[in-house]
Amino acid sequence: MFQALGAHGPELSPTGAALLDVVLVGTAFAFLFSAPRANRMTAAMLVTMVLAMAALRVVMQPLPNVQPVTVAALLVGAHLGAKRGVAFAILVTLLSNLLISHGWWTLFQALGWSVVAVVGAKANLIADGRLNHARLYLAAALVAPLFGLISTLSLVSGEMTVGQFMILLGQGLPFDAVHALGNVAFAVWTGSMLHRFLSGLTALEDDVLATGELHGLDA
Amino acid sequence: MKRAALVLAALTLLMLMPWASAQSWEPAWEADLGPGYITTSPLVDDEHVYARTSGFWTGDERPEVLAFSHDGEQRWTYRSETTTQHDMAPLVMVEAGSGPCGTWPTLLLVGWADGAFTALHPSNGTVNWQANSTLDGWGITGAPLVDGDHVVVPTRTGLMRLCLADGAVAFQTDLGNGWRNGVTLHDGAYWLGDEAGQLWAVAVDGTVLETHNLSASLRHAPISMGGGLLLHVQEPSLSRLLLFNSTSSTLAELAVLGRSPAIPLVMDTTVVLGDSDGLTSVQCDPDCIVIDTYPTRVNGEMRWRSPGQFFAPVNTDEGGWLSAELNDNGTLGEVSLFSTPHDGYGTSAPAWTSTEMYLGNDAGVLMAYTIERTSSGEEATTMSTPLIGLTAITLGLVGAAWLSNRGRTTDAWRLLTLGAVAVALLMLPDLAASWNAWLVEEEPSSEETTWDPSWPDEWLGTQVVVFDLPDQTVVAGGLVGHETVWSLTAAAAEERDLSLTTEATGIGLYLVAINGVEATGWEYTINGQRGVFAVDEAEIESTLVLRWHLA
Repeated sequence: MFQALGAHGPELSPTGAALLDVVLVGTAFAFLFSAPRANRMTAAMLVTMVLAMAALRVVMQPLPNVQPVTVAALLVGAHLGAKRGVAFAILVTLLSNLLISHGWWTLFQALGWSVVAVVGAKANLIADGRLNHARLYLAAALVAPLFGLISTLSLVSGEMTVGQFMILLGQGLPFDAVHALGNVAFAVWTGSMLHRFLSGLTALEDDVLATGELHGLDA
Repeated sequence: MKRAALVLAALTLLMLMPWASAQSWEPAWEADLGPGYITTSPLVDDEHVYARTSGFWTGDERPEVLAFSHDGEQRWTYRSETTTQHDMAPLVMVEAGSGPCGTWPTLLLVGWADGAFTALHPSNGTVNWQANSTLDGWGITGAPLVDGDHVVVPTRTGLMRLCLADGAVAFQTDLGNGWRNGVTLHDGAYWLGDEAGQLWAVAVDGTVLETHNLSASLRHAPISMGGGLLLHVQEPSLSRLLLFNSTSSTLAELAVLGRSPAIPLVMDTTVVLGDSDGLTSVQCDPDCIVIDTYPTRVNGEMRWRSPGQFFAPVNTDEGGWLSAELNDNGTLGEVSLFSTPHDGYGTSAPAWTSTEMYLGNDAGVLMAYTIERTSSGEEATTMSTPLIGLTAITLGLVGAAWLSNRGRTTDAWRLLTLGAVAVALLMLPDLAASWNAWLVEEEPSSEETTWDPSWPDEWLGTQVVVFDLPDQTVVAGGLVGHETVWSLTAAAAEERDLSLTTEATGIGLYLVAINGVEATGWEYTINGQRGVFAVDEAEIESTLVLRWHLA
């Protein structure tokens, strides 16, 4: 199967790859614009977060399936909501894959981390402004196989049987386990730091929006 | 900030550790073969490692072919009493087989500088048969070519073709005087060059078909590349890379390179050339162009260690062997020097098994190195990975306990999780390989289920490869000793003159195209069972039918 389909799935033509880029960027910005309006500072900080996570993913690429983006997507979803979380996930995936290896699989990885961001938004990871660490660790571990399942879909072809797909999924389990363990480690090491950063961003946004509402400048 | 720096440092160390130790060859044993040289590559099979010595033209010492066990115990030696010139013809092993001219056992073929060509029993070094060629200063110094049930030998004065069963001479044709001039089968004819600068084409019956003036010596087997022959010819102070179009019988000069060319190395459409100025990579797709160069001095044999990595002996006083990466686009990647205690002038490529490497140079010492190969195919030293894992677990647990005892619970968790990730990453290759092996374990299938009755009986009990190309089916059989799908596929493709295009991926080698056919992708089956591993990861049995077909 690997030999037939390659490491990630079928090859894309240059036109196909360009189309995929346009669709992903368009989708990311559609989610951004449909989210509650953000001020420039918030947008700049979100861009910083995207760039930092993409760079970290590229740097850590030699470590198989240790994915710093997953925990970040959970927390961005938790703090900024599902729409911005999805936009964050798509942009980080696209940007880092342009440097690592870009193709058909980018679509599925972006989808996987988007789902992670949605999980982060719905999992009540933040309660009364405080990060629920235990819930974050649990979510970080559980989303790893979910991401593995979605990204493995990139290998599905019309000729593949259910049994063959199950074998493919099974082959990925050790890598999913490392992904889960890496996520927990990232959550333990950086969860509080990211939470503070994103809380500041949210607070900043709330403050400015509040100011805007008062003065009619940012309505 | 400190914590972030600590994480980054730990992860950087983690990234470097397993891979830094992966290429560590450990010396196993060495044998001083006397005052002469080891000019050509050792040869290794399941039982022995064979080496030949050269350079004895004074005193009582004479050149020999020696066989050692893989543990370094000398098993036998075959000595030539009459050779007084450089013995540099590569050793060639031929598996047992039969053909119209007869049946032969497994043979070790040795060409000698006194003109003799001997077929030795590799098990004990006794002579099965011997043929003699014309001596003119020296005798045989080039690489023989096995062609079906015959071996074609470039001799000092021309070319001879011998039956593998008994050494009977099918033809012996006088051409120009040659030196280190291998022979190539191209377009149904044998092609070779000589010292006077002639390129010869000889029919299988010994008739001279064509001759062309190269104006320079040719000291390697011409490289069959599409519709032509790539030739690295030698002039007194430089060399030239020529492309001979065998259809139009025209010569085109591709590059002017350094003097004293090495024997070129070929992989698909990429050729690596060596000379006294360095290494040069050339890609022919279809036009041949120089892609990259690397300054060094390589004048002898080079050899692939794996797809994308080759070794080349550095022919200088400092010597050693270059380990060089060759990228898919033909550029030379990382180049490092493998040094031994006996570094010096050398022209001999290493020989390998999956866990051993054998080297020799002009110092005349055969050196054996070992390395562990894990089931996943990753190389690692015997003890380093478990020790690193054990250290990580111990440090993680002790550190976490200490931190926890001091009330720093968060830091304890951090240390514990970091240790757990480190151990998981170290275990991942073995764990994934074992898990996959268990996961895809299927009912044992046999060669018989996929055996084609029209195939020769001699192929029974060997490794057979079937290429289902869109317009034809190409079969290669009688192959033995290959341990991975890739090794077997590459050997079969070479035997049937098919080109392979590969792509290295994070989870192994991917075969992109066979003979230029890419289509919807290639799949393989082993005895009818669909393969699920990357070709260089998939281990195979000694008897099987490997079939390649379009997905």
